[in-house]
Amino acid sequence: MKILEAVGVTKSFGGLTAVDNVDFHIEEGEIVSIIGPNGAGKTTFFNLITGVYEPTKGVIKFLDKDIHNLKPYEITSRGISRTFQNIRLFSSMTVFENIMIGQYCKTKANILNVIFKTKNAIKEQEEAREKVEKIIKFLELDSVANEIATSLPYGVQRKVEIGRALATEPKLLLLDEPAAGMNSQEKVEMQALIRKIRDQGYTVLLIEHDMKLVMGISDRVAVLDYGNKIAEGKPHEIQRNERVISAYLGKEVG
Amino acid sequence: MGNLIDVLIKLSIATVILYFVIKILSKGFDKITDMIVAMDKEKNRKLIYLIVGILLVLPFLLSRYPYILRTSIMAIMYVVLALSLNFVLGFAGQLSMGHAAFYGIGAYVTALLMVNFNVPFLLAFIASAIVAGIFGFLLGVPTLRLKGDYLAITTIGFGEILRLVLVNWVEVTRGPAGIPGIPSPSFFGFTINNNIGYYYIILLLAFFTVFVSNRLLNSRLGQGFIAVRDDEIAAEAMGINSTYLKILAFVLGAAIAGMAGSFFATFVHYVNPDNFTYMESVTILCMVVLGGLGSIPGVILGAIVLTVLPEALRGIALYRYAIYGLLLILMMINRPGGMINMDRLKGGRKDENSRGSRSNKVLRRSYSSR
Amino acid sequence: MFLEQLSNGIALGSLYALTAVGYTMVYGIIRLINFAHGDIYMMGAFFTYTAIVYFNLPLVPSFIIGMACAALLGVLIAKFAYTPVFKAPKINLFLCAIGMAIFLENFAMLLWGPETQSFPTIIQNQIYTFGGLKFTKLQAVILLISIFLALVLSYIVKKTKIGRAMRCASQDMVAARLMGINTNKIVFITFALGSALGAAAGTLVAMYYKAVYPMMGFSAGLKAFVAAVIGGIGSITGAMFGGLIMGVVESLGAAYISSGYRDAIAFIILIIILLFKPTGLFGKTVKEKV
Repeated sequence: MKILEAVGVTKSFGGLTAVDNVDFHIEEGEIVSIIGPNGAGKTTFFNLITGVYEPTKGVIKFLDKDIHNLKPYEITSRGISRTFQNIRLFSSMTVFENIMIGQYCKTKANILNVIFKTKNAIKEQEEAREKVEKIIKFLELDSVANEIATSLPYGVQRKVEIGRALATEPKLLLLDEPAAGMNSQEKVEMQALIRKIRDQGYTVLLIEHDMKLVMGISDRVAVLDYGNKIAEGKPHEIQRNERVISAYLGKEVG
Repeated sequence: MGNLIDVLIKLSIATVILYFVIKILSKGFDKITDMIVAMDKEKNRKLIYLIVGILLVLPFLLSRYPYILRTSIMAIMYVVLALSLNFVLGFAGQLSMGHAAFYGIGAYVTALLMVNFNVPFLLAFIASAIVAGIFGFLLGVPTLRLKGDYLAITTIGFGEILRLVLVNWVEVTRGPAGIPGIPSPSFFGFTINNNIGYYYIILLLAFFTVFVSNRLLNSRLGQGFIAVRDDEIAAEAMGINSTYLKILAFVLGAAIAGMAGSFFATFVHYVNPDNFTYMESVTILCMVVLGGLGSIPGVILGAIVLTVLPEALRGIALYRYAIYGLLLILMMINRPGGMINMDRLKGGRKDENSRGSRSNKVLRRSYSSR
Repeated sequence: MFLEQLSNGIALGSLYALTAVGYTMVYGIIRLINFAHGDIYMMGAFFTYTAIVYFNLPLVPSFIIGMACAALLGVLIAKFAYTPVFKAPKINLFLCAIGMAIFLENFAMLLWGPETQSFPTIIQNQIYTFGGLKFTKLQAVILLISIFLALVLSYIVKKTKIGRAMRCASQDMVAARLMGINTNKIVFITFALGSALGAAAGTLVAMYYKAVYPMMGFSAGLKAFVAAVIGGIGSITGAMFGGLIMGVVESLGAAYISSGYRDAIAFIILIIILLFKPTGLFGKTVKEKV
């Protein structure tokens, strides 16, 4: 079943067309990667899916419903969650609190419930806590749970971001360069983690520059260049695709 | 002009003294903060009971010092005001500089209702909160698009426009002459006519405000506020409707400021536009930042210190506001995170006072990060 | 009536413009709303006043002394009050500026007394007519000095090496530093220039209303700030236009709508403009990259 479908999606900034007429879809349970040189429009595409930008043209459907005119927070509560290329953790919060924020859209207490601490408010808070604790266990962040998140090493911060995204209980998880700035050991771990996340039943869309990781993990790869989708297919097909090699792999990886 | 040298010497001495006082007090504040952090729930509760106990018997201890009692009432009222601004500034990270307007709206609503229509205090009080809250909403909605400095100037503008309306709408507000003869509040036939009574009213309001602040901060909504303050884009990506939260903060802050205004009107029995100037907004802002943005104990302390200090400096009347200005500057240089830093309260990094609080990224966009 | 108000508005507006330029320059460099700017303006007026009244100097040297002293004051403030807080969150710098404003107001009260001092009348009243617009001699002088200072400033900013460095620093402080620009020096020069312009405006206002008093910088500072924001804070041209627009609208509004709401008019224009163009008339929108 198609979990996400984009038809003819275009985004222009003034004269620059960052994403140009892209058709794209993701099946449930897949790991799909988007690759492409810097400035190819990958992150813009993410921002279109998550509602940070509105597409100039085209339709984005999530679970068969149009989402391209929804606000980011509405899209998140429908089940798409993301991490950021340049980590954006909440700088005054601990790891636990950061991940707990992911549960915000799954809880309902309003201002009066909160002030009077109604039974439901306490109950949902407890449930949220338990879920967050599970996520922290899953990501092996127990030892740093009460540290201020932004004071931790880079790699750990990336994991916290993933945890925060998982806490929104998404059906589709968008990871924007999760392995950027990591050493090879950490990259191997990240690869294992992404696979583990998929095995939990999440669908994953990935932007990544590290070819080893992309080719090792993806069910399918889409290649963007100057905003156009120039290829799509199984990793081994992409590795042999002429256009891709000339546009991208040829120069970067060889 | 002839006293130039004299003035300069005195101010230099004041600067040096302030500098060392801040250095020494900083250590003290850190100790206190660490103590609060280290305390377990049981001890924490005991400490709170102790403080509440002291606050409850205080007016009887002070009954022979009416001036101190009066200052205490004002200090507690400013605690309420500072905490109400803390919703907007400390929690949601919106630089609002017209907070005195809501305070003024509350005061005038109560004054007008009680003087013109003999409305009982409780009703007027509730009406003040509601009207101020509505104005908070009206200010909050259009200013959502504005950030940082632009928001600051717009809120200043809002405050100034309100003050000018109070001055110029003579038929209703009686203009600069103000509204005298606001009756004392009475509850079920009991009229409060001494300062001990007022003390308990405002103390009750302060407890209420602290209670709401605390419940909110530890709830999903409070954490949502902090998320919006730290990084609005990330907050939205996590499913937080930042628009809703910002308006909520404005409304809540305005309503509570309105309650403080309502109290103020009946306490001094007289309101005029001069009570609600821009300087008043700035004073409240200073209380929040000096105390420690977002930290409830810090803001309380900030409000108390900045109310008591000018009174304590009365002895050097001429110099007190110059020293007040110096204090602000020196505090910001030596202790940028405020007296009780919110991050430190969480037991986060211990070297914070050299860098200031990280807890307001929205307001930051600092020199160094550009 | 209309033309008279218009010329009043232009004179007033040129004063707002001069003050607003100082605001905008400082903002452009360190992104600080320098709340003390209005008080530097006040101090400048007092310096000139002191030179005239206590030292019996003629107007022109007094005027220059006033600007020079204010420039020095601006640098001292930047050095001792603002630079130590640059690395802290922005709100700290902001409060520092507020503290400095409070300090300067009270410092002036200590030195010159809280009451209004009358500024000596130096330029006699005489009326000139330019194509229907009537200006008093004083208004003409104000206008000419303002235009002259604006030209000098734009020469400095556009044509000199320092000016180029200033523009670099205002676009990207870190990059400017990496390119070998001494950004500290630039900050001080900016403060000196902005303060000198503020002092000029303060002195001209003192001459216009024949009064100096410690609180005179307060509402002037606020309005100049509004003018700067209307123009798009950070843009020098914008500040000049913002000042003029405000002066004219305020004079006309006070005459035709209500003089009681004179000060509110500035804010109402501000709010209307910001609602439609949140970055002011000449400001650039900077979208945060996600």
